[in-house]
Amino acid sequence: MRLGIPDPQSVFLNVPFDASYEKIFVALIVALISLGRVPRCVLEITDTGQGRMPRITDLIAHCRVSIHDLSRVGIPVRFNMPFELGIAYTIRLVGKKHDIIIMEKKKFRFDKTLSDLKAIDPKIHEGKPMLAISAIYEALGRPTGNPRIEVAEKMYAQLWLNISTIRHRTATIFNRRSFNELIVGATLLAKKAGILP
Amino acid sequence: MKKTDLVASIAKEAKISKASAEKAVNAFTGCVTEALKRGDKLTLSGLGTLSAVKRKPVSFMAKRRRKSFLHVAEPATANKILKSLKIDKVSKYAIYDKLSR
Repeated sequence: MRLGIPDPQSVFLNVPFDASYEKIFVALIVALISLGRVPRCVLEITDTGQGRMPRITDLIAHCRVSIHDLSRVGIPVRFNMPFELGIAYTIRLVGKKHDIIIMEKKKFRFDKTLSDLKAIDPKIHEGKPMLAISAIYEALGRPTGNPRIEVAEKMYAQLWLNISTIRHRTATIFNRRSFNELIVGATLLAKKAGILP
Repeated sequence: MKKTDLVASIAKEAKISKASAEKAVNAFTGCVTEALKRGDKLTLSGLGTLSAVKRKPVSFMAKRRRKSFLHVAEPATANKILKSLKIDKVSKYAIYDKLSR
């Protein structure tokens, strides 16, 4: 395992990959790119038979910030998100610069589901993409000089209009190609809007 | 522009040797430094005013807060974001055709 110097602009996304989360996933990517951050995700990692864990750990350690959505608490039970949060927390504990942002759908639920981390206030998105964008702006926006949040909302709407192009006749957008397409699309929109050099 | 470039361009403009121009530049910077050390102001009309000010020392905790602040990252450029994808060409994606028009 290599724990090198993290890239200050890279943000690791640890989110559930299910159909009902697609809108928020797109919103998170748009919000991050509009703030000049580089979204990274486990979808980039291909399974080459050596196991994914070392590469996931490397990817999280490479990012200065990680976003963990712990809103999937029902059945079927998903352990990936809390597990990867544990990895991120360990990277922080061993002295690496790593910031953790936790997202939840409902208020106060996080205190019950992961009471060990009570000191951290999760960002609540209520399952709405616009609230997810404002949560990212609140957490990662610079003190001054951020683009207006309406610009990111408009970018999101434009990108979501083209989601069928991004889907490529597959059932879901949670694959490597679609993730790349989302980043390319959001970056082009940000460039067009004049918020990215 | 670095000092050597400045010396070369002064030598060319004033039609003097580079060695003489370097001496002149060294004398200029030395005089300016001495004047600022004394607390004087140097006004060069058309260029600006040079003066020395004492800055308030930044405390260790303030430096640390500034470092640990979540919002410190400068925004990445569009090229850097696209490079992170580790692909040879972004134009091969269908979304590129749709949005780059």
